[in-house]
Amino acid sequence: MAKYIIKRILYMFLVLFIVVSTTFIMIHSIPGDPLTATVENLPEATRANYYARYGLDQPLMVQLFRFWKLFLTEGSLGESLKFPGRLAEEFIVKYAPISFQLGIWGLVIGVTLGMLLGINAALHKNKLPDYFGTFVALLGTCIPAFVLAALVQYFFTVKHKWFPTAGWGGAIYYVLPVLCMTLSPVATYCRYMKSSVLDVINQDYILTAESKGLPRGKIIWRHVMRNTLMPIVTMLAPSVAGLLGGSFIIESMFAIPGLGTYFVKAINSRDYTMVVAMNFLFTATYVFSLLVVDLLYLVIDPRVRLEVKQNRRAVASNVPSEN
Amino acid sequence: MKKYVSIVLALVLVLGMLAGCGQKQEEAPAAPSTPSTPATPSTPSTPSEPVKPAEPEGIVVNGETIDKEQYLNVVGSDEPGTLDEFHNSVAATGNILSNLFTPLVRNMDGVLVGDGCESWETSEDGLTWTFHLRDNYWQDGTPVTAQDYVYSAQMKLKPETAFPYAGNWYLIKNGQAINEGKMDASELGVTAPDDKTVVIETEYVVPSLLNTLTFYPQKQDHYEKYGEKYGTEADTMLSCGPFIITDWTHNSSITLEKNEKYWDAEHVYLEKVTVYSIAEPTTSYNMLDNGSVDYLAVADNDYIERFTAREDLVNTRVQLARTFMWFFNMKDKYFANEKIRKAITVAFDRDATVEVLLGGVPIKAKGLYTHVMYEGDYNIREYDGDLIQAMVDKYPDPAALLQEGLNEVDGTKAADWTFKAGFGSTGSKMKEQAEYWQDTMIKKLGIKGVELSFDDYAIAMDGWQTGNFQVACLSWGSTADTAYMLNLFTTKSNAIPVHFDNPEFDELVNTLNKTVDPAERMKIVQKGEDIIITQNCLVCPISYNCNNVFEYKYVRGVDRSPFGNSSYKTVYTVGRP
Repeated sequence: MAKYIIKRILYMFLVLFIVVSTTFIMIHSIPGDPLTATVENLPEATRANYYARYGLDQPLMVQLFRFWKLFLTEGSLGESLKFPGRLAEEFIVKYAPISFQLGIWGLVIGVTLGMLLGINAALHKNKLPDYFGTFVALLGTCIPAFVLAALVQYFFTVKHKWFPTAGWGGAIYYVLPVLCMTLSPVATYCRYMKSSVLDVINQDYILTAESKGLPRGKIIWRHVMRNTLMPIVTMLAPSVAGLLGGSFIIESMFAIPGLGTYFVKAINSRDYTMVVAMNFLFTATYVFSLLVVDLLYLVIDPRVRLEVKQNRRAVASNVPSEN
Repeated sequence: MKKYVSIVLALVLVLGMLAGCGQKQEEAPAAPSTPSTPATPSTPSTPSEPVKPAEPEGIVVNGETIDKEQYLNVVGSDEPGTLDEFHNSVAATGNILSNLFTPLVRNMDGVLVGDGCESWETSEDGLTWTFHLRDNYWQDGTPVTAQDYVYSAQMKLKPETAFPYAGNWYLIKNGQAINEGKMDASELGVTAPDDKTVVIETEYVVPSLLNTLTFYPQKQDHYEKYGEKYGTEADTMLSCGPFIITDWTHNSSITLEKNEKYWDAEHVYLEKVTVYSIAEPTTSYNMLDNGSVDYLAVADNDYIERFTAREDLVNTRVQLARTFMWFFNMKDKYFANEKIRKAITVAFDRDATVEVLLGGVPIKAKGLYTHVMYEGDYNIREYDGDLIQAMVDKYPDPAALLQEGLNEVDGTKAADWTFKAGFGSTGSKMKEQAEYWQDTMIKKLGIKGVELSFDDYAIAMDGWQTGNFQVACLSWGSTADTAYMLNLFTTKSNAIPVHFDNPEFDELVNTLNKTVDPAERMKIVQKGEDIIITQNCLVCPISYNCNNVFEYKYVRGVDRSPFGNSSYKTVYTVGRP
C-alpha cells in the first residue's frame, strides 16, 4: 500500500513538472508582450529596458531554467508583470483562500443538494420528484454561470435591493455568489446520482436484501448509497480543482478579490509569471485531488483494495520468473 | 470495513448538515423584511427623492448648501497594477495617482491651475519652463521640495527603472539619450536650482507640455525605503495631494480619505471616496442602477436607453482625444496605391457605424485630430474642417475610383478582388462591426469580399508591426501635444505601422518642433493633416471616442478633462438622498 502511494506521489510531481514547463514555453511563445496591449508609444530602448528588468531578454530555455531554479531554491514563482512589486505566490497565499472558501461552500451545498435530489428522483422514478430533479438538472446544465449571475444580480440587487451588488466583506457578500455557484454542481450530481442509484437498485443484491426483509431505509443507506458513491467520488477531483478556475466569472461579476479574475486577466495582459503561477496551482490542486480520490477508492470500494493486493502479488510472482 | 464505510457516510451526512445550517445562516439577511443591509457604501439607496431643504449651518459652494456627509462612490475600470508610478502600465492607476499627489500643474476641467506650483513661466524660445513651488507638505509633515519633482522625472527615464511610458517623456531634454543608457540621469532637462524652483527644458517646442506630461513629486527616501514593494499596498504610499489612500482591497475597492495637510484642503469637500475595481460592465451598470455608485461611463446600448429614461440621472458625453480608425499597409502591393486607399475611405459607412453600431455615443470622424485638440487658441478640427466629407464630395463614385486604382496595379477586376482586414479584438461587438463593414464594402465597391481576421490585441499588433496585413483597425489615443499624432507617421516611427516614408513630411514635423508661434504652428499642423489624410489617405478615420457618462443629479464638480489627470478634488454632492 505504501509503495502504491509513494509511486502515485512521484507521478504527481512528474506531471506537475511537465505541465508547468509546457505552459511556461507556450505562454512565452504567443506573439505580443505585456506592453503591447497597454503602452501605445513604445520606443525600442524602452522595450529593451523593460525586457532586461524582468529577464525577458534571455533565451526561453534560460528563462525556464531560472524559473525552476528560483522555485526550488527560494520557493518563489517570480514577480508579476502586471502587478509589479508583487510576487506570484503572494497572490496565491492571499487570494486562493477566498476562491476556495467560495468554491467549497458552493460545492458542499451543491453536491449535497444534488445527491439528495438525485436519490429522491431515482427512488420515485417517473413521479413528481423525478421530474423536478430532471428539471433542476436541465436548468443547471443549460444556464451558463454568467447568465445566472447577471439574472441573480439584477433581481436581488437592482429590482429588490436586498444585497450589495458587488464587493467583499461580511457574510452578506457570500450569498449571491455562492447561490450562483451551487446550481451547476446540483445539476451535475443530481443527474449522476440518479443514474447511479437506478443502476444499483436493479442489482441482484438489492433484490436479495429486499427478499430477506431488510427495511427500505436500511437497504438504501447500507447497500444503495455505498455502491453509488464510487462515480460521485470520481467526479469530485475535477470539481475541487475547478473550484478555483470555475468561479472566475462569478468573481469578476461580484468583484470578489479571488484568484479567478487574476487568471483571466493574466492571460490577456501577457503576465507570464502569473499565468505560469496560476497554472502551477491548478495543476497541483488537480493532481493532488486525483491522488486523494484514488486513496478514497481504497476506503470505499473493497474491490479496488483487492486489485492493488493482487497486483502486488502478481508483480512479486512475476519478478523471479522474468529473471 | 463496515466501520470505514459508516465513517465516510457519517462524514458526508455531517458535512451536509453543516452546509445546510451554514446556508440558512447566510441567507437570513436575505429576508425581505430585514429593512437595512449592513451600512456599506454599496448599500442601495432609494433614487429620485426630492432635494432636501438646505440646512442653515451647512457649507455653501457656488450658491448651494452642500450635503453634510460628503462621500463619493465610483467605479475604476480596472484594478491598478501598482500605485508605483514608475512601474505602472495600467490606465486606471493614473486616476488614483492624481488624487494622491500634486502635479506641478493640474488640468481642472480644461483649465490649467497650479497645484504643486504657484506660478510658472516659459522662455521666449518656448524650450524652458520655470515653476515656482508653493508650500505643501507630505503626509508625514515634511515639505514637498523641487528635488522631489526632479527625482520622479529622472527615475522615469533611467533605463534600470524600465518605466513603460518612458517614450512619452523623450520630449524632455536628453530624455531619449538617458533612456537608451547613453547619458546619466543627472543630465535630464528637469532640474532644481533651489528647493522651491523646478526648471524643465524640452527637446523641441511643446506648447501643450503641461497637458502632455504629468509631473508628480516623489519622495526619494520614502520610495527607496519600500523599494520593490512601494505602491503594492495602501500603507506603502506617502501622499501630498488632496487625498490619502487608507485601504486597498485588491481587485475589489480602494478607499481614499481627505488629506488635511494638503495646501488647498479647505476646497476639498469629499471626506471619503470609494473606487470599486469592477471588470465586468454589467456589474457596474447594476451598481449605477441601484445607486451604489454615483456616476459611470456606460457603453452598452441597452443600458444607455434604460438610464436615459431615468429622471434622476444626467447624461453627459465626455469627448476623448482618441481616434478609431482603419489604417493601410503602404508596403502592400494594392494598398501602396493611393486610389485604392481613398476608395475604401470614401466607401466607409461612418453614419451607420456611429449611429447604429456604436449607439450614437462617439462622434463621426472628420480627420485625424479630434475635436478636443487645440493649438494655442485654435481648435484644430474647426480650423481644418471636415477632410473626410471633402474627400467623399470629391469622389462620388468610390467603385470607379477603386477600379482605376486596381488598373494601375495589375488590372484585377473589382468583382474578383478581395482584401484582408485585421482586428485586435475577439469580442462579439468587434465582430458585429467588422461584418457590417464587410457587407457595406462589398455593396459599395462591388468587390468580391473582405477577409476578416480577429486576434487578441497583442497578437494582432505583433503581426501588423511586422508588416503582415493589408488593412487593420485600431483606436489610438493622443496626448495634448499636437505633434504627437504627426510623429506617429514619420519614417522612424512604427507605432501605427502604415510604413509611410516621406522626407517632406518628416521635415514638416521637424519644423513644427522648432516653431513657437501658435498661428504658424497651426498652419504646419494643418499641412501635416493634409498630407496624412487628404493627399495620401494613410488612415481611414471612423469616429472619435466619447465616454457616455450618467451621473446622479446630486453630484457636482466632476472633472471632465479629456487629458488624463482628473481628480475628485472638486467633487461634492448636494441633496444626496
